[in-house]
Amino acid sequence: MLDVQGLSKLYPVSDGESAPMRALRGWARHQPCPAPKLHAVDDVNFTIGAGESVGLVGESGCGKSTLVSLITRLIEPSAGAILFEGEDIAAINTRAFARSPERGAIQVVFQDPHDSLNPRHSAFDAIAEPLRRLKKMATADCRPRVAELARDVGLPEELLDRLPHQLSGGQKARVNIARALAPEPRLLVLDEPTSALDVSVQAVILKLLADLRSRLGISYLFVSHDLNVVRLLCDRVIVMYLGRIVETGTAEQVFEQAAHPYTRALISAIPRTIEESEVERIHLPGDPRSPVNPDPNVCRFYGRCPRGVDQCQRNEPRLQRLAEGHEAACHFADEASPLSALRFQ
Amino acid sequence: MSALLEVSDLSVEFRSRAGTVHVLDRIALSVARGETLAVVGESGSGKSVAAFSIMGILDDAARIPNGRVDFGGMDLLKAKRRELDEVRGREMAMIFQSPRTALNPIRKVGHQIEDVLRRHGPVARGDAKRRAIEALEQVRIPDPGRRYDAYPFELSGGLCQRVMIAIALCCKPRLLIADEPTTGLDVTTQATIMDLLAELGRETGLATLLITHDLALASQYADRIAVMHAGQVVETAPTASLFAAPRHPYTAGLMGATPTSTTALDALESVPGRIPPLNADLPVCRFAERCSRRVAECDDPGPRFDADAQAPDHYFACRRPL
Repeated sequence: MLDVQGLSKLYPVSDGESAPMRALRGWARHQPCPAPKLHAVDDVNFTIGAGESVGLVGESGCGKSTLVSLITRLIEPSAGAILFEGEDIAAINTRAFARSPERGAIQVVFQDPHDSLNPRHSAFDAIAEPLRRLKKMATADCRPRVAELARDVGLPEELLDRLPHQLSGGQKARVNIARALAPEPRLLVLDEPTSALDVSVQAVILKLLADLRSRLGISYLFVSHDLNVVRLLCDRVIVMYLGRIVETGTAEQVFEQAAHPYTRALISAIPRTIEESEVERIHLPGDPRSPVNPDPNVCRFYGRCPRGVDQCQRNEPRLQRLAEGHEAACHFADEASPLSALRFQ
Repeated sequence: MSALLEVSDLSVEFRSRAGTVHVLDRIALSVARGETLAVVGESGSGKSVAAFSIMGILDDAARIPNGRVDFGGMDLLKAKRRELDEVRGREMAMIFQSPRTALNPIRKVGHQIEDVLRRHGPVARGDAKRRAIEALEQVRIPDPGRRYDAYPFELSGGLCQRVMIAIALCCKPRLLIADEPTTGLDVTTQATIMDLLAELGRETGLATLLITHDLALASQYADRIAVMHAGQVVETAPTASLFAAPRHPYTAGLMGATPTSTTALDALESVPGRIPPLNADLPVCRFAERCSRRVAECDDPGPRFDADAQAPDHYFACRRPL
């Protein structure tokens, strides 16, 4: 349903040289000297099937949020195509997209349920807004549909006239989900939907999301840093590192047989309760490499990788197939042992 | 083990336009030398207020009607400002939730460490710099000599948090209060920071009061856990004992709601309801409204804390424990 091909987003950054100086230097060398580029999302390819739930994980600064903004058409990509049900929506500019029929088909639930609601709009206004804008419904006609949406997300109807500050965190999360569901999307992008909620509330919202997906048959792109939550809700997982996809596979493949050293470090870093088996911690020394004009021949993970050999500096590994649906971008991906072998005996 | 910090019977209330808010209700906590105690609970349970009242940095609207905070033989609540200033920063230190906002954005991190050193004793200029760089080295910051001159915005979130730990630890305190030290950091960074705190605790015999909402994190790093709900400590126990057999229904509820690497979505339980408004008349058990095990005697006044017959260090405040 969604097919992302070679998607990139590069931001020009300043290196202290002024534009006229750069132009002058280009003129002197008889070739243009472009400003350095920050590779936020770099040549990313993936698909999401109809009704499928895909998790997107990675540390802050790896390009998750940029990728979300690209797919939801809030920013323009530098290169690549986003095929949504066969049509390249990357070709429509963001302003025009806001009024196109696909706007309703791709909806987002944003991270902070409080900050993403207008403080002066009631719950009813928040949910009715997309109906008025995208479905061209008159405000008076919205009532029954808003009530139905509220029922879908388990929001008591008497709360619809309340303002955000009169609602609890869980109720605000439900308003946000109802608002995103209002234009009947086929792809719902969930950007850390539960990270601002307490665990006691998180469980209800996760169950609600799972239930909505099975009832409405919509696809999810679920962005989260909580791997235990991703495991619960997603069929497939995409792991990003420094603008690139480093591993992708079914949830089981990624969590049990992670092949990329970054994925393995990520899984080993999840805090575990006493009841769970202990997993040996893989330490990642240092900071990520700079995303500004990265060397095309060096593995992005080189320098932090516990393995990192000479080959990794000469040759950037590309995604290689390990099993049906399981790919990892590491020269030594096929040598990785199953994760259970990491556990202490 | 003798307790380094002993909080007993501490209540805190805030005056507000909506009446008096009873934020803490007769809580008791104790931390022994070299021990890590985790305080766990939902937002609004009073974890941070507990930490702030120990440090004596509560808002002006706060009032402490009763309680005692004993730190190394000194009652911090009765201490004079001048006496407190000698203890805070030197004997006990605190690290805060968001390292970027807690650091001064327009001063070099090295100078911010020197500020603390100078405040707590005469240090020569050259000596201060050497000790600041040592402090950065102690928290495993690579290339500490160069980072000494860095401003907070030049450092990543993980490095900023390490600088804050360096500031807290530069006077070699005996107690560290860490208020959600890794919230907002990546899991990999969280793991490094927590490992660092555990390692420094072992090296220097530092006691830590770790405030977190993450039960799994608490179980991995704490010796003992205190569970708070709506301003009350509902259960205190050594980590292993708490996980083996939680006695308070709220603790059990939190455990059932925390996703682990093995739970299925259907097995995930939520804790119904929410923390009651703390400005109204409150029942004896503030969890009663949310509790599925409530009986009539839950509303009886009187002391509610009970020790487990099998595990003597395991305390819980419930009339009908699990």
